[in-house]
Amino acid sequence: MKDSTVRDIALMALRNLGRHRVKTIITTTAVAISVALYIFIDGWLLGMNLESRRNIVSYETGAAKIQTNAYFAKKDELPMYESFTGAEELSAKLTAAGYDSAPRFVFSGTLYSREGTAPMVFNAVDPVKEAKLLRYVPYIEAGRFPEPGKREIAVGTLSAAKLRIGIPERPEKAEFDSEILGAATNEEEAAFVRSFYTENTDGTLSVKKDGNAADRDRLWKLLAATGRMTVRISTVIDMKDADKPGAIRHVNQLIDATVVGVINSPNPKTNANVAYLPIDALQDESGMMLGGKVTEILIRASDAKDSVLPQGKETPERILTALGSALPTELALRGWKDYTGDYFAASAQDNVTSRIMIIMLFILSFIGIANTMLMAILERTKETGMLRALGMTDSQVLLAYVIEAGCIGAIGSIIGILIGCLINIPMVVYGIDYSAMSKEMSGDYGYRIVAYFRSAWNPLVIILSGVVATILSAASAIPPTLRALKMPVTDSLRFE
Amino acid sequence: MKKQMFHSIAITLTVFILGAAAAIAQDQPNAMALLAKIDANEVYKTISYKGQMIVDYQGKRYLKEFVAFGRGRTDSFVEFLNPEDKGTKYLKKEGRLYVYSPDSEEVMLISGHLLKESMMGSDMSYEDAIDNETLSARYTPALSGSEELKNGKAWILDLTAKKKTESYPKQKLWIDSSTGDLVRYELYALSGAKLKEYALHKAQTIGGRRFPVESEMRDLLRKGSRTTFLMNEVVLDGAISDSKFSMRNLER
Amino acid sequence: MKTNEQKNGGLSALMTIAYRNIWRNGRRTALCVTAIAIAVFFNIFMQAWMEGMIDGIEEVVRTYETGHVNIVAAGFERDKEYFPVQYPVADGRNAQELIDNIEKLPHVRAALPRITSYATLFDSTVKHALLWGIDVEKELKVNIFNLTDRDDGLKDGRYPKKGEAECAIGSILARKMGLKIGDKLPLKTVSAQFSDKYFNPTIVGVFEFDYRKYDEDVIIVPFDKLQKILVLGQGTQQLFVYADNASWSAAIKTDIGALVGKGNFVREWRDNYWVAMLQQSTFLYFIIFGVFQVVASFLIINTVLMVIHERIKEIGMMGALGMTRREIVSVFFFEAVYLSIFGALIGCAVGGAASYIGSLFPLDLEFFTGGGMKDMPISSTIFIKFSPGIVAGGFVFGVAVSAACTLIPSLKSAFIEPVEALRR
Repeated sequence: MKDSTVRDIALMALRNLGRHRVKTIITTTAVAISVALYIFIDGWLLGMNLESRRNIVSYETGAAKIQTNAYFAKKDELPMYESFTGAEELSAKLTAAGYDSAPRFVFSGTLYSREGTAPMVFNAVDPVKEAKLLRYVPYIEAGRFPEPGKREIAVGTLSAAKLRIGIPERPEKAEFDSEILGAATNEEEAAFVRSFYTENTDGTLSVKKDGNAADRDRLWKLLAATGRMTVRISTVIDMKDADKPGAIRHVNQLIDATVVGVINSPNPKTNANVAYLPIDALQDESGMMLGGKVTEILIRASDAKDSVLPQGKETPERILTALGSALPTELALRGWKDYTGDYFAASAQDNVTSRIMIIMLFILSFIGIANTMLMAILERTKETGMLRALGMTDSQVLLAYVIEAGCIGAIGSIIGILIGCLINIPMVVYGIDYSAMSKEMSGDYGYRIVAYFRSAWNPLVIILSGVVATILSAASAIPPTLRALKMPVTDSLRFE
Repeated sequence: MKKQMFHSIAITLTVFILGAAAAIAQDQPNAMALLAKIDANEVYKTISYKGQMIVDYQGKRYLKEFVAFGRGRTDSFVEFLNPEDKGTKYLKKEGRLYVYSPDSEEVMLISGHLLKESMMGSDMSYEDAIDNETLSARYTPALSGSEELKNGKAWILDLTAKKKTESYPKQKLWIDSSTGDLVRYELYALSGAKLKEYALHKAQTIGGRRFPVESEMRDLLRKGSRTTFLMNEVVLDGAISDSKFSMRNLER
Repeated sequence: MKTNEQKNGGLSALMTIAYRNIWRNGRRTALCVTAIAIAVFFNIFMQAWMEGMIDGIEEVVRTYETGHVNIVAAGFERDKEYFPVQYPVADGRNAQELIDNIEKLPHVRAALPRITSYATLFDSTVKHALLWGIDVEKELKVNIFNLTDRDDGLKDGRYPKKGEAECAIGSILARKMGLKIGDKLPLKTVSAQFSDKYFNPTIVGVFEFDYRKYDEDVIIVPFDKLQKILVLGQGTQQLFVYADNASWSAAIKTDIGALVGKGNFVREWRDNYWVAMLQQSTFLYFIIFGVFQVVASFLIINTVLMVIHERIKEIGMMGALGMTRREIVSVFFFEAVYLSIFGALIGCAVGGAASYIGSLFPLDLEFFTGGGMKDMPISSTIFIKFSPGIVAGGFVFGVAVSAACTLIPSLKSAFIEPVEALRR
């Protein structure tokens, strides 16, 4: 075929687009919707795959940790005697290289409240640095996060409920009367307290959903005045015996503290049997005798985005390079994956459920596009006959339709990609908080579960889906066209 | 249980010897001397007695009965007699602790992380029980005054740990000025918070020595918890054959 | 001017016209029916999938954590992180007696006694584990411990026999400690009187439950042996009651409460934090399901729009022949209903068959989690759920949504001027 013929055919195809405006719009819409929703779901599924990993990075470990090799070898035991000093110098170097760092001293013990006791893992942190690096800090259900230098702690919501600390979400009537209402010192306060709760049918009360922050603070202060938030941390300070190498000595310790906040974040790890307190309040003998020691330093890039897993700048190799001179030999820097061990048997891409869903969606979209294109072309059989009667060869007719269909596919894909990305932007940047929604669905349990979800960008899929949709549209034009071409010209002219 | 038993025996014994002098003098005794005397070497070769440990917790009472044999400070053998624990035997020998349990039907060595755990539900750990070091070696004593108790005046000794790695960084002892009994002591955490309390209920003079035949220990963190110790049929320096402290005795 | 007769006849006449219209153009009909059938198929399949997932989650919780109804003493509940054995159910009342009484209640399938207690291992690499004292025979009659491989979850060897000093350990625990069948496992646990008890069972089996917490931490010993070691007398630490069907849980909960008396907690499985947490996660899948419905609906709408567009001339003809707008719309509407019914029937047949086949074979998957996988009761197998309810729902969806999707374009058809239409 001569070049000029091809060009003419192409132009004709383009003009055809305008000629059958309604059909064009219908088919283009089919492509656009399919592409947009495919991109959305793919981003959604990817987000789901990543969510458990992102949760660990954002709420537990950061991108990487510095610990002593000896600590890492026994990390499940929380060996606090394998701590190290010099955290400040390392932090300074990291900050200079563009990383956030947060020191921690982790120890296990028991928390005694007025009403009960619970085993607890205590994370002594730097509140300011912690808030910058990890994401659980803003998820304070009641109260606030501990302030530096003070003997304050924040506990997970499940532990708080068990220990009868904080503002109970769903107390029994007896507990409400004695501990909550009993905190009111006058009629006005009693009325305020009552206004905070509604009665349920099973003899418990629930916190009214529309309490505002100022009211919660006031209730907190009222309850704190009764000693409800006063706790004791019982633990042993493990340290190496200087005189007997290999032996560990245990010094009994009991620390008085006040609970100032209750944490309820999307990662259940922060909500149960975990407490956070300021590390600088534990440095001397009234605390944990830390004297500047830490068990680990958490690291993230300052500009890290929560929607993606650590990569590039945040890989252990890059961080080590950025640190310049090597770490002291007893210390090692490990990426977050080393701390998840064999929890994740397969990588993110292997999630079979997601795979099956995306394949099913693909099939559905495929059929949608093909079906529409099929019908659009089939009903122009008469037109096809006309073109043949006027002298176009079969291959020319085919080319015309394929180009036309391809154009529809291209335009639809572009619109679809635009829409898909537009929908994804808020989903990735802000995510959705679906905790309220789910409560309606599955009923009120008295647990406030924070459920928060974010999609993820998948540029490869976004572009590929557009390309595939275009090719698909063009290819869908072929079978009906061929069918029309097979008919004798006279029959096709008569086609209805 | 073991340790505090030795504790109280040793203390009362040696203080008694000097008690007379102290009673006559009624001066402020020297703190280090008091403590040193508490740590004085055992003045008996062997001991055997029937003991009871009563644990009161959460409104329930648990009674454990045992028979105990001791040789010097280093070897001891304990066999439980109460129906729930019958047949469980412990042997402390050459710095090691062994146990025989009818459920396992074999002898097991308690070592490593197992030593840190509480012994038979008491407030002592196995580690505490096999530890042989004296108080004077580990603590610096200071006489902080006296207190009038039911039975008379008691000297109060404040003990501060010499090393930072001591289990209980601070202790307080109340020593009866006339009888020399250790009537009370308190164990403190590093922060100064009181963790455990010991109180002597009844002491008896047996074979010329003072024994705490009834005493109690309280873990202040466990609400409503209390462990009472009783000693009966105490025999001092009796003849106990070596086979008592043998592995075979565990297995029989 | 129409008489009643004519009107009534009119309706059935319209329906007949609609019916005949369908068969006039086989190609169009086939395409429409296919579109609807596919949409309905996906609807059914996705639902079956998600229900299968939810069931899987709940099943794990019910097998290991709560039963259908769970009974513990108040003292246990207070210190439950420590798995105390000092507070047996109903103050140590004879467990067998309790079980016999509970099993007499209506809808109760079985009441199983269980003891979980902490063990300190003599081994220095893995220092702690959980002893799980169960009546293996009874458990296997009621529970399935592994959905993909053997029902009883055994990977190697056998389960310990009643009264014997034997145990079975989880596959991951075996690997971590380098133990195999025939090895001994010395351990220490604390009795109901706070005394130390020492036990040295021989390993006779290795199990794999696909529930990481158990595979990594648990040592299974015979219930009666553990009961004796812990000196629980005739009592038990926990009772797991299983009903004929999980939906009876609420009903039997009250009955059981009366039997065991005060001072005990009787709870049904829905009160579990993890059930609530994981059911929330399924919300995310419902969104995907919603998107599928949207895409499917668009498929139908698109197809119908095309059809109507094709038949503009025909519509004009009908108008020119005197049919009212309402009658024209009715014809199209009935056509849509017929097509919807056919399409939905096919979709239901295929969807039903697919989910039925899927329900017979377990799928090994990874689930969505929120982090901290070891603590969550997650198993990695699901069965797609075949349920007539889902199929019927799919049918209704197919007919209703398809009819609705076709109605709007159909309405548009009514506003076409016959003259305009005929000219096309």
